[in-house]
Amino acid sequence: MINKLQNRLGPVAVVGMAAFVMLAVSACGASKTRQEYGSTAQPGGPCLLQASHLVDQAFGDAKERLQDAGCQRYFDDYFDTLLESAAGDPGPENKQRFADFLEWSIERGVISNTQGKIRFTRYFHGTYASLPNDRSTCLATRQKGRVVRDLGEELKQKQAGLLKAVDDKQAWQTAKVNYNDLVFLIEATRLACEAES
Amino acid sequence: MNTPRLAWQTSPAVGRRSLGVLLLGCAMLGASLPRAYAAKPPPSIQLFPTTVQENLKQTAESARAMEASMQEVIYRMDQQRRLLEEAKCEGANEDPGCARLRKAIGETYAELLRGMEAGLPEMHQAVRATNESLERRLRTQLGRKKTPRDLQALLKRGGTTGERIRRSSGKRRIGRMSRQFQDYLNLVRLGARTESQSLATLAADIYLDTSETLELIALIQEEVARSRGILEIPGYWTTGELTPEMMATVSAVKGILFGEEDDSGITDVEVLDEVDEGPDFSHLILE
Repeated sequence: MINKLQNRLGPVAVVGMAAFVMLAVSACGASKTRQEYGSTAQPGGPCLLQASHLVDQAFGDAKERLQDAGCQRYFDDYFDTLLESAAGDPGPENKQRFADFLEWSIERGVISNTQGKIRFTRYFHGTYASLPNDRSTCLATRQKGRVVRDLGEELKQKQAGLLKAVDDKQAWQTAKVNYNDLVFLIEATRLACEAES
Repeated sequence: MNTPRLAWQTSPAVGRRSLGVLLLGCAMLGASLPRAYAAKPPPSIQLFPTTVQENLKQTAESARAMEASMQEVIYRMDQQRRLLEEAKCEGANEDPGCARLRKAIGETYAELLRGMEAGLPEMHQAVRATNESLERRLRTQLGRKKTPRDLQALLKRGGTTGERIRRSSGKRRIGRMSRQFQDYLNLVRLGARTESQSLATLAADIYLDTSETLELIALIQEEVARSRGILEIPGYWTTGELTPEMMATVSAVKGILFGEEDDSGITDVEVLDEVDEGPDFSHLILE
């Protein structure tokens, strides 16, 4: 399948598939861009949250910070820090911890219900939240490989969540298979769309 | 004799009540219609209508015809080349036995070229018809009617429980081309009966396979035309020695028609066990 893609689909599919190679050598999961808050500053002062080897304590500390409205803009950073802590003690209970944390954040209005679902799906489920749902595949794939690149980014997030934090190798394997299938189908459809133009 | 009268005709009160019941029933029916329509499942995608299945069948048949006409010739050429090697004819240009062997190989090659020249256009047409019809279906049914997230939903519904059959990456076709396309057709028919949504992946697979095959056929046709030109020049090709380009053409034809033998002992079936989801997190999953 990869050979067929490389022969037929050119550099975009190669870039997409190269995400696998990148994942193999990546040290840790990538940080999501701060789309929710648009802030690029690192949390400091009372908002500072250090990664902890004690995972429960790390979640408790994060919730404490988030109770301060001024610190809520650093939600993304806190999430990354929690992933780092969880990676130090991986296990299935971490999935519940993150689910509880996201539910708590939704209840307190730190993030919306949809943001919580997107976040959980991106890191802890085999399906892909980054796929656009507001335009046809032909239109979506005109953006020069953007769809496949976004899938690759989400694949890294699933590695950080499913594999490193939760240590769920089966779920991680499913996520990779889904990624492969999606890239294959999307790229074949893109070729068919482009053949008309 | 008086004609029996209906109840509403005999009593105005009964008639009004019956009419009211009738009107109420119609109103309820009308109110339920939009819900019934909304509850109707979305139309399934039509990737393999009858025309596409016919194209697949034609491709399998034209490949079968080509294989039948080429098999004996290719086998004979392989035998002759083996004899040439065993006779250690390399460099022995003066040896009459080697010269006869080379001449025989040259004649066999010319026969191969004639066979390819005769059969490839029809095969090309059949493969192209399949490719173009699938391209249209992919573009309209998936490209225009579905979002990328819809495609994910299609893939989720596809396949048997936790099991998917996929082609190994990097492998060329294993087995005969006619067999491959017959397998495709059987999978399509099976998918149509079970309404499996893995038809989307199958359509993509066949589309890319036929695209690759078309490119290969075009290259072979180019080489055939070139080689025929060489053979037609009087006195130009006297040794009967096959050039590397000629051998590449023979290999390409063998590859496209007969594939490679699968002696790896590895199956293409990738079995994914049922994932134990554990606690229910469905309320946090984006649909």
